[in-house]
Amino acid sequence: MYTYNEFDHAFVRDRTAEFRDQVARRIAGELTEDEFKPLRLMNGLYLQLHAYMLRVAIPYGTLSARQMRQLGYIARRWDRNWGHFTTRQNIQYNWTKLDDVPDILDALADVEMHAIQTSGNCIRNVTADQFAGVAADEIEDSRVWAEIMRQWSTLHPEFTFLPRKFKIAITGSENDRAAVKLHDIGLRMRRNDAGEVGFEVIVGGGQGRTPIVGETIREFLPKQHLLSYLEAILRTYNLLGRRDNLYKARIKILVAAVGIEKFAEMVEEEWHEIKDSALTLDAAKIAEIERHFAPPVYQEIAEPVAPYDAARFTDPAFAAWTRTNLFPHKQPGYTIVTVSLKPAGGVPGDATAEQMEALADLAEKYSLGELRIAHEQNVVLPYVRKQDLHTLWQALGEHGLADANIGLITDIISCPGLDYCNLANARAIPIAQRLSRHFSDPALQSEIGPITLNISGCINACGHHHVGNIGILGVDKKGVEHYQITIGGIADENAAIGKILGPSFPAESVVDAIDTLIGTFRKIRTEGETFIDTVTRVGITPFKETLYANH
Amino acid sequence: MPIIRNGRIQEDVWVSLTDREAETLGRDTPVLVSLEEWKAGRETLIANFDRRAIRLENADDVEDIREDLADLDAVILVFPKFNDGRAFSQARLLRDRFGFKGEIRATGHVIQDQFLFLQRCGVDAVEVMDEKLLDAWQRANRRFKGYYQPALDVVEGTGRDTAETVSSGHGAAYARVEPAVLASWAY
Repeated sequence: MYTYNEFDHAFVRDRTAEFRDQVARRIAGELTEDEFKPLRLMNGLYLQLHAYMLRVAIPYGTLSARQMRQLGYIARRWDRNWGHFTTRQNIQYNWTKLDDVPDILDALADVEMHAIQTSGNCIRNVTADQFAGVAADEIEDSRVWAEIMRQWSTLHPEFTFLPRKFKIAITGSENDRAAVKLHDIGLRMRRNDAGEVGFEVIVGGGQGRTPIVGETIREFLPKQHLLSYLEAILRTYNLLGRRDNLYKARIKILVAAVGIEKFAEMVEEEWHEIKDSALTLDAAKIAEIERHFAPPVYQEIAEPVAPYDAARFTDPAFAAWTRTNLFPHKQPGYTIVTVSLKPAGGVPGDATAEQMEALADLAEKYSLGELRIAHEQNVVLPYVRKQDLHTLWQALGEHGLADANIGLITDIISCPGLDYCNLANARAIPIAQRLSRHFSDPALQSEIGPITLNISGCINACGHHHVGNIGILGVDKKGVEHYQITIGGIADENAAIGKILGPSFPAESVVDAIDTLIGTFRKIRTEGETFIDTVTRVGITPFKETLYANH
Repeated sequence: MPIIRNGRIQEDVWVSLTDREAETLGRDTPVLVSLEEWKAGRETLIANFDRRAIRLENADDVEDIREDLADLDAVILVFPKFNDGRAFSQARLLRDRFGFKGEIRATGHVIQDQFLFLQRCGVDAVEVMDEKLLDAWQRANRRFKGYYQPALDVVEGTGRDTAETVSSGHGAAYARVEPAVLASWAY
């Protein structure tokens, strides 16, 4: 993975020193809250309902065991002993004190981490496929490009006061695990007819108040032009994006207003001017970053791995876990493990300091010292030898981390909701907790099969409810928390926005309502059909009818 | 309000056409116009005044003055609110793409934490509420030892503080600087 050089180290230290100075000026009253706000936001610091929340960047979701251990240390020392992994592959600390934040940033800098641009109207932490570099199905390792974009976008002088926040996601695989069509810019690595690898560029996707699936403005962009093309998009947006209305300020609104063809034309025209500027990446520069992501030295392991197969045969609980929580690895004898942060009745994405430290230890022992954070709010161990799986699984179990539910109905994505967030209309966490308890029976989950269930506490959609196969949105109905239900959302390469089924439900009816939807599905599904297949085949009407007949 | 430029506090010399009675204006009056006024009276302004500046609102398209830059000594960009960042792109285009050598000034609600970004986009002057900000302006580009992306950076020791450069209206020199991605790459 990427390791800082002297420049990176100095840069992050200088940035921390700058923020320490800004905090001091704020405390001394030299900065108004209005002026301090964008500065703290650009360092990831929000003021929420009860306290300051610090959002720490985990660039493209990749981190080392040492970094994970430090995240645990920070949780214990400066927070209430836990952290929350987010849908943007970051971690949030919910209970920080303003005057501690510079010290926390120093502790992060000690392990090559920071909170730069995890908020504010700037280019946010670039997200990527959590299986990048190890997935059997990938074209190329997208982390190389995510790192190049991380560097380029860091304190970009021109694009730090954009009309609105700006999110870029990249996938190196045909199977999109990074929801690239739902970002301001989505990049898909592609191979052209000549066999060269470049990017398909998608713009204008996003969730929030106006959910839109992004559209392609360029089928194939040669690699070396990535940064100039991004600058062309960003400059066009910075000059023309709306600034009069917070809800109309994202690039998707500009794209919709001028039309995708016209927008593509404007970008191409701007790009033409800067295409061969200093932004062009020569092969040596690319190779220098690629060097950081060189594959590890793998052991030659023959498949099948006998002890692994034996353990599966003798230990059914382990076998169940291997069916849900593993993903095929590039290298024979290895596998990718997703560690669920979704225990029955738990808070999706939360991990305690002890769990973070345990994950760090296990990563060192079994995953070449590396971990990933998935946008589904789980932790990934990307380099596990199959022969170690049974021991690893047992060790995970000791820390409450062995749930066998990845991709199933209790693998719920949820934002923090009204328990923490001052934007929320309703709580999301208690709904997730009730649902995961209700559906906790492994046999039932397995019977229901692959499904995504996403919950947001408000229309800003941090919990990705628009693209959940089942989406739950918290709304405020005359001062009472209510929940609107959508079905048919898809986050992958076939991205789709879910459709609203009807009037919203009060909190106490949500579990029943979801149960009714699942009951309907189980009645009308054909052999082997997943929930989303059924919705695609029959539409929303049968679900709507049973849902509102019962309620 | 005071202006910071060329490493010192200066008076704002520009006189808005609309603020002054026509008979008090002389050939040597440094005259400031809006884009509209410039478009309407470009020839007259060039014929009657030796020094001319234009004030661009942030919805104005800098392309509109691309061909006229040789006739302008300064372009004044406006921040209606500090978080409205259009002027960053306007400055970048003026300095970098159009090669404008005159003063590019940021006015309005600018905060000191933006000084570095302004300088890296080619802005060489800023209007401030408080003269004490001179120090922050001068320190802005020294906070970091390098940068991750190519932009326009002030070249140390040029264009600073000589009477000549001040009166000629040509301030600090800007240079295209290779990315400090430099950092991780070339260096």
